[in-house]
Amino acid sequence: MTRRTLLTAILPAALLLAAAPTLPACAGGDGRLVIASNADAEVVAALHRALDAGGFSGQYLIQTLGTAELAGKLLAEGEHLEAAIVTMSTYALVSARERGATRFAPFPAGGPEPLAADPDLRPITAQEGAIILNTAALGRLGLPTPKSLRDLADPVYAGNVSVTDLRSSSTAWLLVQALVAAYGEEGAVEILAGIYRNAGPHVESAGSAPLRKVRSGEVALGFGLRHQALADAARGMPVAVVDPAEGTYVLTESVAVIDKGAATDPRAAAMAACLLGARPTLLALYPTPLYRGERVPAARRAPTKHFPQPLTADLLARHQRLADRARELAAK
Amino acid sequence: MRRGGDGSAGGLRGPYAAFWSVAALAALFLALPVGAVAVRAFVGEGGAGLGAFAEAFRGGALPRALLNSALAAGLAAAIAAPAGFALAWAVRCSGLPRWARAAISGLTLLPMLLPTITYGFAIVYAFGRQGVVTSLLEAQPFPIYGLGGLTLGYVIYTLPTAFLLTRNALDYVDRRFGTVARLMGDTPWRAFVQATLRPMAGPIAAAFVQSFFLAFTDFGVPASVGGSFKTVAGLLYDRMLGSLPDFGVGSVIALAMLLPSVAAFFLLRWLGRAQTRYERPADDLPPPRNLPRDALAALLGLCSCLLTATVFCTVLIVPFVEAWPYATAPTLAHVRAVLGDPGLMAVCRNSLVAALGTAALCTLTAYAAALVTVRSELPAWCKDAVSAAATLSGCVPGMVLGLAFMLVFSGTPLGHSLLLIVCCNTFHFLNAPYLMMKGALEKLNARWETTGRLMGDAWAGTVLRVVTPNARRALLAVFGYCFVNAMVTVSAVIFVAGARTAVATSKIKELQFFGRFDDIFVLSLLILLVNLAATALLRLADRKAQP
Repeated sequence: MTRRTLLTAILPAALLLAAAPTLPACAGGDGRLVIASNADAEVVAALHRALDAGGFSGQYLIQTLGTAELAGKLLAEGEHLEAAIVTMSTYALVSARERGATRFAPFPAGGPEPLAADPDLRPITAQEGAIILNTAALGRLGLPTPKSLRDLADPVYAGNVSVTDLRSSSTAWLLVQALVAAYGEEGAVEILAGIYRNAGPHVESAGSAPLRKVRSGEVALGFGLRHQALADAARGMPVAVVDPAEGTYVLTESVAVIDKGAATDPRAAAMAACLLGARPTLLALYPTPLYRGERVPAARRAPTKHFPQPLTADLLARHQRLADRARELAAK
Repeated sequence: MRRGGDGSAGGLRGPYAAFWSVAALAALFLALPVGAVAVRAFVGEGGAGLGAFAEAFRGGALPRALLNSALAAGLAAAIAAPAGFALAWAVRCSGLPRWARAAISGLTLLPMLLPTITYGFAIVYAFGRQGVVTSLLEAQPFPIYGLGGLTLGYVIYTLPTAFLLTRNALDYVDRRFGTVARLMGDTPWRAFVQATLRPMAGPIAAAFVQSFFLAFTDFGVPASVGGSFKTVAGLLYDRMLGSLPDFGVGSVIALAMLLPSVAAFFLLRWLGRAQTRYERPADDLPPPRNLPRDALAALLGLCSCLLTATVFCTVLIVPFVEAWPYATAPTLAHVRAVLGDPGLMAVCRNSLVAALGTAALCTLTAYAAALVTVRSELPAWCKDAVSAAATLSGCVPGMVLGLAFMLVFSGTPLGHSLLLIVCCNTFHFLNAPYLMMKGALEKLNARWETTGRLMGDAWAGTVLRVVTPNARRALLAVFGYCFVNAMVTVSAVIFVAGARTAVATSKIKELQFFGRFDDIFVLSLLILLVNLAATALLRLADRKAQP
């Protein structure tokens, strides 16, 4: 093999690499700032409105991703993330920061005062978990209305329950937190195993999946996001919410600016601050106060509780192992 | 005599150029990313060690998931490979009218034109408790969550590939042997076994291996109908991403998924040795009249068409009604909503560009790789390296490759570019095009290069002037395969696509996250239309390429 042969071979690869920088430009290097979010459509719409009202119309692009994809990207790409601003689960942001995968720029001072302080993050929504029912299906099957999460483990509901898997869905964490806080870890494993047994094939990976199955009548009841079920009920679907006796737990989602050093987009801080302008709309969708001075009608407000320990990645890992044990117990 | 025309080292310049091109690309876009994943399995945040392995194997979830996946994928491949061959036989060796053969081919290949994500949902919408078929039968025909639904999904997913692989190989089996066998007094069955089944044993086995790995590494089907039957792809997704990503454990699972690839490598190599060589048979004569044979072919075709039609009718029904299953009045609102989405044209353009680029690069790479392994006199290590790269690409799940690309290329100028999507797709798909190319090239006369060399042609000259024209139908088939796959793939692309380089399938994944199934089906239909158009164009080209 001669040197020329080697050159002929390496040339195409070199050309490919040389052509690379021009490609993102062809695809639309339009100077728009990218905001990555795992938020639901109605939240994204509210964020759009807030930014447009703040005069940023046409200067940004909101890229929506699943929770898992966004968390993976955040950990793998860190400061190379295409997005300048991220909105996602607060614990995932904190865990990425703790693991040294991503650094965030301090959140711009001023603006509303959050109830839970973090120098880099500002909460935008609060996700609450609740028991969700298809009232029509429940009636058709002649099943009683459950009052607590423990009731979901009752064998009368076998084959008619849908929940999510803690390995893939943070919604499941709301269920596990409530069980652990109320019954201790061993009690939680036992009840969770009963729930998994009842759910059978309906242990889902996406947080919105149980509601989808409840809505379509594929199952009669499940554990899902409270605000989504309330919205379904308001649209006249046969869907109802039961706030479980164990209490309603909360996971917040926050906005953060990625610290890219010199490459940080100068508009990012102002846009992030502007996003908080969506709070009044979001508060109407997710009825949980997150900032000082926010009010929610008592009828919509859930009896919220907070887990006694801080919500960290370590705690989640511990709870995931607990849920794994419950699944193994259920499989026996 | 031209320089390099003799059998000296200079005569290997062309083959070496092809080899090093493939090797350079494979090193950069396959070995490097996969290597990065392997390193992650051993080196975690707490330093090097086997901690990730201990964590991955705790509780026995990984071995169980591996067994589950092997069972479901094995079942599916055991159905898909013979079924694919049976259909290929019905299309190529029966006396069915041309339209019937076209219909069987078309409907068998239809699922290929749709994203894998769509199959699972189509199964749920067809056979679920509220499904179209269920409401027609007034009973659920079989439990769709778990092994049953999974196997059905995998069969739908892998049947087109098995069909294509065996049909292409069947093109090169000389049918005159069958006629001769019958004239010599063999029974129809014996003639079939001797003249068709024997020479096709290798391709059928290759189709089995290919189907097995497609199913084994697929994520789309288990995501929707897996239920509590945990597959290794699902486990990988949960650990690699999930609510608490752990790249260490994820990498270990990815490596565990790669293990069977070693088995496949040796299996396929062994199968390659048992290959029969034929001259390119020129005859396209209609086979002799035989009513029982044609009736059997028609029955096979009907079964396949019925299965496809049943599952995919949902894709045609659901987007055109208000809200299945509650409000079934027909409406075009969903279609209008999707077409009115401002970002959609850009997304579709990105998809087209990425698919065309992938088809070009992947076809070239597969062709060069196959030339190196079957039509060059390069040393064995070169051929083994190329073969290993192609096989590895078939065993690396798209999710793993995409994630590996993200780990390696983000922050480089290539990051989030359409070019990176093209490269990622190329090495995600390479295995099947390579096998198709290899199968086609193996059947060509092995003496052309020698003849060319004696006539004073360099290897590249023979390849360009003799081999390529004779392989153009296979090249076209490979081009189509890559284009269509690039249009429908999602697993790898989801990690590589950026905010501005989003493609139609990553849009579908996004819509899935938000539970907008009407829109998913509309977009799936759009992809289907593009693919149908592309397929029609390629068929025209193929007709022109016919000798």
